[in-house]
Amino acid sequence: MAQQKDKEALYDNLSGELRRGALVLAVLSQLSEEQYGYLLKQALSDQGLEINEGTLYPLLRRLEKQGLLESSWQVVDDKRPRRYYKISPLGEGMLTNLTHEWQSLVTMMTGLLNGH
Amino acid sequence: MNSEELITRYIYEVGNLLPQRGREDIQQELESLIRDEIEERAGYKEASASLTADVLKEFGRPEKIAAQYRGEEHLIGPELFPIYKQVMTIVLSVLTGFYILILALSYWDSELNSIWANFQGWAWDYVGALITWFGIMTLAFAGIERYFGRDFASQSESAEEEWDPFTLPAIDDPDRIKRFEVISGIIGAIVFGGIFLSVIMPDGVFGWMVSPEIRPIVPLIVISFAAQIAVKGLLLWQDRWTVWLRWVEIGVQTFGAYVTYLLFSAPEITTLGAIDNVFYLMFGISLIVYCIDIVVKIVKVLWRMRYGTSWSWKNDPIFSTQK
Repeated sequence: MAQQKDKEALYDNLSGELRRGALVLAVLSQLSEEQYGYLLKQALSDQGLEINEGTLYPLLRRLEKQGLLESSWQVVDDKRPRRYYKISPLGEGMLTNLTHEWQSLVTMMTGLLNGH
Repeated sequence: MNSEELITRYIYEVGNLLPQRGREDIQQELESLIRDEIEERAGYKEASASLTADVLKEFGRPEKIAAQYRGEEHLIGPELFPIYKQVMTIVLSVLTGFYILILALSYWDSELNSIWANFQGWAWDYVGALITWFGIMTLAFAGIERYFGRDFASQSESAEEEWDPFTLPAIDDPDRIKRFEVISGIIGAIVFGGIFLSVIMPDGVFGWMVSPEIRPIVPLIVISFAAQIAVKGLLLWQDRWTVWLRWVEIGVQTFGAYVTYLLFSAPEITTLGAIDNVFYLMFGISLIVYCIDIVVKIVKVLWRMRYGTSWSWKNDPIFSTQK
């Protein structure tokens, strides 16, 4: 029983690492239009990428600090203020490069895994 | 506790763990995100405390989410940490050696019933000194990391690019040095020599014990310590042994042997009389070790100069059993 739990924990850890590696690309790809954090989380979830709030929202801040995103506080439809994020010009260039990198990675991994 | 109270407390706790700069902005955003999530789940109804608690659990403990917002932090970075470890090992080792010496010397002047009291006082001083020096060194390195950390990181990157595998030294290269050992030797000699000399000076802790016969030899002891430190300094500068350095070392050791001989042949070491025999024994053994070491070093250097290889018992024409 304990062994099974350890196995599951290990799998969760490794699969989480795999997903975390793709997170930045996923986030950048969804911010060509302005979005606030919660909507972005929903958009990613609708595409099958479940991401923890404690991971996504600090990530948005980090990407903004790195110059890949721009943000602004906005009040829309008289609701409370929300911080909206959008990809920056630098982010767009990075997204293009990372997309090519991802596609190369997928091709390579497909070859490796087919061999296995 | 209601939903609002939960949200307020959560935001407050996270804020406490964030740096001043940007704290308010993050708190506002976090609150906005939490309320979005709660609204989505509660619909148009008023959120219950348990629903709010579920949402906050998904956001994570305040410590965890605050750490994510702060990003990677370290007191001493990965480039500097190995140097920090090495220097800390040297400093604490030298400190320990010094305190052991102080303890040993303090027993010469103690009566039996005060040995335990001496030890207790010594132990407190020793632990206090360890903690103090650990703190000083850690603060110093944290300061270096804070103000020069980026320089180390970029130097590490450029060192990575410039590194040439062909410069790796041979494994059995006898001229290879271990910088860590040489640096520890220098620091050890400076600290130990300084402490030793300070305690035997006329105004030193044990100055009254030192015989006037020894006083004229003290300057030679100083020169010997200084010469040993200088040789190690030259070794660091050259970054490997060379023939001339080995001859310099032999010269310095010969001088050290001479100073030891002077101490050994002095009519009196201390004013206490009885313990002089211990010192004579120590000096005698040191002298023998010095002489053997000097002879072996001379043989090795001459062999190297003649044959270009390292001397060992295996390839010696006289002592080797291999034909």
